[in-house]
Amino acid sequence: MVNLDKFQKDIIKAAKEFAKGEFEPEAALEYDGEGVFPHEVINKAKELGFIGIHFSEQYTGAGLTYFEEVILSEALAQVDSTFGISIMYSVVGAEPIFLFGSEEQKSEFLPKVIEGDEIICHALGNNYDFILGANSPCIRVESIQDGAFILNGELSNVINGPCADWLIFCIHGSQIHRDEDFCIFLVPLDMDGIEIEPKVKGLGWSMCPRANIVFNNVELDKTYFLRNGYIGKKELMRFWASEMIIIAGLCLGIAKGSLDKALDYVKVREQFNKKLMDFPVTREKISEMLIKVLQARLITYNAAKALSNTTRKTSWKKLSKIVSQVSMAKVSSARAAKEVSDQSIQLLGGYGYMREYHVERFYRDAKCCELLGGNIHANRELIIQNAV
Amino acid sequence: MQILPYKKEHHEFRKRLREFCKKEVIPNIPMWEQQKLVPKEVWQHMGRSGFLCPTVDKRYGGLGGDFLYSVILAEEIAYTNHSGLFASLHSDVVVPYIVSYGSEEIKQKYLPGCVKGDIITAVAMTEPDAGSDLSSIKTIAQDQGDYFVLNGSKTFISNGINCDLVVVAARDPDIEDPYKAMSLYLVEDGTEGFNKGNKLDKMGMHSQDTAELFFVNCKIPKKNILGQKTMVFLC
Ligand SMILES: Cc1cc2nc3c(=O)[nH]c(=O)nc-3n(C[C@H](O)[C@H](O)[C@H](O)COP(=O)(O)OP(=O)(O)OC[C@H]3O[C@@H](n4cnc5c(N)ncnc54)[C@H](O)[C@@H]3O)c2cc1C
Repeated sequence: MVNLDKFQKDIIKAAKEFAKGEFEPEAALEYDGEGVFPHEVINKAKELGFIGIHFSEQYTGAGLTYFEEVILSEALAQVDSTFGISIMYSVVGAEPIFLFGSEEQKSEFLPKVIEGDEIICHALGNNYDFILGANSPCIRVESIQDGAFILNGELSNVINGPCADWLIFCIHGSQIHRDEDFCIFLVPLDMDGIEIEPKVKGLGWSMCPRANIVFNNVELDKTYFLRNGYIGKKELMRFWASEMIIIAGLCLGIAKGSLDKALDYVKVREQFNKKLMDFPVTREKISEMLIKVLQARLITYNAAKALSNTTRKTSWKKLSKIVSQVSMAKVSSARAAKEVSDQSIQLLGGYGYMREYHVERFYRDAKCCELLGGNIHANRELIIQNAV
Repeated sequence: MQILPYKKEHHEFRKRLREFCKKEVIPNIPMWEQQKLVPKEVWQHMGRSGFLCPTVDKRYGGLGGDFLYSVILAEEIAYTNHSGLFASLHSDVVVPYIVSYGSEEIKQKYLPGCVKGDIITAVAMTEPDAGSDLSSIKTIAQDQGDYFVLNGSKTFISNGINCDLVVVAARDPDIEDPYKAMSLYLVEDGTEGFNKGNKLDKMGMHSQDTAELFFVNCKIPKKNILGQKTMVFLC
């Protein structure tokens, strides 16, 4: 059904061992309650080589593929979704450098993120609106002086914004008469004119703090360009696909992790002198949950394999098809995560609603997966645009 | 088209209640959610403004209204987007037990306070091992001549911290059939042997003080039984 080789199975085993050892339930309640970014746990994940495994070895990655990232995401989130999300997402901001950066930028930045202490956040989610045909720029080009852009505006809900050192964002080329392109920047967040406004904790993903990043006449010359400053729609799509596939992997973990908890519970909880597991209704529910998990896993693994085989040279037509598959994987995994974690709460009854049982958090994290990495409408649009 | 037969008085009640919520409830919700509790004074303010127990008879200070008032109360509190001030549980779940099964003495003793908001009520049925299957509760009420003595623990009890009066489901240990053994008892806050546990930390409803309750050799007067003994599963 899903064939994993020994090496891949070992990744899963190691990831689960790490997660069980490091994701302390008490800490999870505290960090979730206060919206704490788990620096220490992320650093341990770095030491053990769990961060950026699909980056090439020359940049201190492990030279693996998106497929392995997906099974890693799944394994971590299965043990604890909020920690898992925070670990996997700590490196998503560096992906644009891996995909579009110049050789020097890759050599300089990727090791800092993979092994060092630096964090890069990205705001490329703010550009999804162009897929939907809208084009309301969050960041406006006020003027161009001696080749430097003067920028104003606000990037909203940037994940890891409050704790990041660097930001990657882009503006649609229509503002500078290059309709086919996006102009992309890599900037330090302590730059003049940049203000970081941390947001209050949301429903889920609570260990990934968010911020609005405000630009007040920020002046950026071409030394702040990522690569030569311009990327095409195709490249942006590849980035989005990489983000969507990680989220899909996390969703698999959420679905499976919450199902594990529910299964453990219904096997021991008794009402009416019977184990909950022995009620036909419970059996029907659990079987439905198992089906949802496997469906989501198959579609996601398949899409992850396809995405792993793309390169910068992959044709637009082929890439669109793969991005569409990845989008389907994200939509269906997020749905599975939400529905399965919802039923898990239900099976635990009142206990499921209590934070200390660590089931409701799966559900809150699942809902956020539908909203992030392109909300579900943008995801669907990528599917439709490929089909018609 | 109006499906429910609201009259002018209902609309006025709704209007006044919404105004009350706008002024006294909504601005304070962020604070209550953080403190995980609604201050008791708010209940009193609400009661004195005539919004609690709207169906209780005028004899006990109530409005003597029909169930549409209860519907309005539930709707308007829900509309404020919080559930800490669980006025419906008090007015339409717990107090009706007293109205329906309390003796005249009990009604006179408690109902006016329930209406005014001086007495906040809770109902304690669920236990750690007994949820859907209520018949399997372990809390017992032993008949000791002048008193009933309660022993057991309850969980997930709404208004559990604020409550001044609790309707408790307990079994008579001398009756074997669980469906016949159960009765409802009134326990006042402050009764020796009745202890409130910690507030439970929940997914949502943060300002709602859901809690565990414990009864250890808790003596209550005989008259605090609601209705006939062992009738819980019959009515
Ligand atoms: C926020 C909150 C406030 C509450 N307030 C109060 C309160 O004020 N007073 C009070 O007494 N209680 C209160 N409760 C408790 C509530 O009434 C119980 O949670 C409910 O009765 C379910 O019991 P349980 O949680 O033990 O779940 P269980 O009974 O253990 O049920 C777990 C799961 O098994 C399923 N199940 C159980 N029996 C069967 C069956 N025969 N066939 C098929 N499936 C079955 C259930 O549907 C559920 O999905 C509250 C609960 C919450 C969450």
